[in-house]
Amino acid sequence: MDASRAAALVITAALMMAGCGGDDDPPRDALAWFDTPTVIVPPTLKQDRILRAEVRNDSDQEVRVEAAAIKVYDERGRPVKASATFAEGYLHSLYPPTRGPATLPDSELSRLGRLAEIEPGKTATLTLSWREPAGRRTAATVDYGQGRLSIPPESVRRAERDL
Amino acid sequence: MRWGRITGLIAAVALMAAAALMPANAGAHAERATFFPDPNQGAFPEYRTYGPELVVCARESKRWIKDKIEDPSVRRANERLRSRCQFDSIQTAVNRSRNGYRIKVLPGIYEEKRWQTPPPGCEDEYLNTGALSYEQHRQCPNAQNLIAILGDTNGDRICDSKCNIQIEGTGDDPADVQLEGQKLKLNVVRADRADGIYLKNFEVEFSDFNNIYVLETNGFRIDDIVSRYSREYGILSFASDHGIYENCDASYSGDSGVYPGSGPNGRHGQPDIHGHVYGIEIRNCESHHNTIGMSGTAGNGTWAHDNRFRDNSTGVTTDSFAGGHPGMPQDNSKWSHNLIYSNNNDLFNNERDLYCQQVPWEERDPQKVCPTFQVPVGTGILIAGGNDNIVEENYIFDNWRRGTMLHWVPAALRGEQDPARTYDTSSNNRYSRNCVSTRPANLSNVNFATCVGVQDRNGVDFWWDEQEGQDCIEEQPGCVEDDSVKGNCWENNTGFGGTYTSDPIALLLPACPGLDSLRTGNSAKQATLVPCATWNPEDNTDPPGCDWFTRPPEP
Repeated sequence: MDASRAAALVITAALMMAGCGGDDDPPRDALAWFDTPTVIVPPTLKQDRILRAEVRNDSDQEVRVEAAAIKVYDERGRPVKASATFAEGYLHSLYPPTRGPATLPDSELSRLGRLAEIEPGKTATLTLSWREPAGRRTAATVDYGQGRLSIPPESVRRAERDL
Repeated sequence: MRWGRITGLIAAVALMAAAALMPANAGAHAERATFFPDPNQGAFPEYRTYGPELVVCARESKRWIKDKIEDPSVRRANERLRSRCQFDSIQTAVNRSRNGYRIKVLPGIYEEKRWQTPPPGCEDEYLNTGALSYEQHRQCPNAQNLIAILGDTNGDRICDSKCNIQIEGTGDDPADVQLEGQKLKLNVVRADRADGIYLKNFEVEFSDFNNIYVLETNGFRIDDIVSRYSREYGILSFASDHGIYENCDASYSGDSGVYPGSGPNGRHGQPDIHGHVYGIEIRNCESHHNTIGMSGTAGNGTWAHDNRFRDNSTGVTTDSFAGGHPGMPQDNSKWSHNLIYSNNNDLFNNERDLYCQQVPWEERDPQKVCPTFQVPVGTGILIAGGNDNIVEENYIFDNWRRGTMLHWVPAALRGEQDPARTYDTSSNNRYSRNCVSTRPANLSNVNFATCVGVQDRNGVDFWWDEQEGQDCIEEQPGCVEDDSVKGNCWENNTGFGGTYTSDPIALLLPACPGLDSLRTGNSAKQATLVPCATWNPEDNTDPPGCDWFTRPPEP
């Protein structure tokens, strides 16, 4: 193989990789529920739901998710008021929310549950809470920026029955 | 394994030595890395009537002595002192002081204006609101502090100059001497490595961070001080030992009235060589209308007794859920003979949220507190991730959510990476002989050995997430059991009519000494706490799933 042919093969291979998404692009829909999510209805907030679940990275690349980027939508794709965190319990930041440094290191963001960096095959604990929309609508989808997860309706129904 | 007492003492001394060497980061604020002082050095300061004396007066002192001092003998003493007045600035007197000096401050308002502009070489420090090194504070004492007492001149973190300084207002009550922060400096008074500092009989207000700040100090006493209108903390001590807060009135602070954070670590319930089990004592204080009456992340080795924590959003908290505090996890503090009541201050409602978003701190009404952190409104005393604490013979009433609240905090949340320590908090806490949901007839004369009064309910008297942590030796990696007897327990508590309410039901609250086996707790209860972590006063004031920010109806 001459040099020009070898170079052409390398370029072709690189283009093929780019066409497959490339190494630098985050994988799409990499997260999956590790187990059936648990949903509870807080006794004093009947309109609210709290979902706790382990999410597993089923891709072969690390997935990085910012909790603030997580959105919840109803069945018709309309946004639902929600909050998300990867913290495993209640905590607060070292600094008051309005007075801290403009940027925090990833380690602190992870401690605070604002960031999850999930290695391939590993899991992270997600706590997602939302306020059920008025009427007959209900939360249905979690969008974490690089993909979506469906909220299992049976988990929600079970929580509502348990209330 | 349960240690024998002698073994325990030896270990405690060894741990104290280790603690004294442990580097530390600071609390819910920017601060340099700090170190615990040696618990076997230092002492609780006593009030002195001897020692060299410097006198400070203000322009209005003559008039205030005449108009404000009611006691004729105190007035005459002040008039005599005024004839000897040498300084018009407290900081100037501090600068002139040496070990053991007493600074007498005559009635008046002290704004310390001369220190408000930077001297040559301090321009950058005056603009810096982050953590300055101790050396930077030495170089520019008033960059962040209206008044700074800095006691270590050779960098060994031990006071060698300006130790045992006593600063005392000479009026007949604290209101006669007013230290005004004017919202200009982070701290109004900073006592840093200032062993033996004694502050007495004045009023201090309007700091951007702490009205009184005691740091790395072995021996301090804050006596008869009124502290209010701080953006964050009324009186705060950190990585200090042998300290007393007494006879204080702390109010209208955005975080806590009093904050003994990163309390003496290493005693672990054992006395130091002086026989002191508790290194910080808070007594005869009234802390009210703050977000929190008393709090302390890693508030170890602290004894609060004979205080009133009332009309805050939460009366008392201690916790292990912020990173960067030395002495984690929190342990071995005690609350006894306190009145913890009516902590329903509604600071998280929509109107207040809007006010705090729209009105800059400098322009706010000082009595409209803007919370700096989130708390469950309507709670008496919250222990979050604490171990070996004692809550004993208190009256706890009229807290509309919960009288007491106890829950686990996973070790990872404080930055602990060792998975073996995940469940190392919320063990061995004891609630005994408290009187709940009962308001004593006379709040000024309470017999804490009885439970007598009119019914005044808490929402629930005792709330527990039903988790029992492991008893780990703090400084060792992994969880090495140091006790297999004690657990979280409740005994001889009572309420109006001889009963109390609890969640779980009383039958499921272990009697003392408790059931010392790991239990991960009630996950549904724990889940209701988590969304509260996402609170943000600017863009998430009411996170779904969190009910902390709505004041519960009166039960």
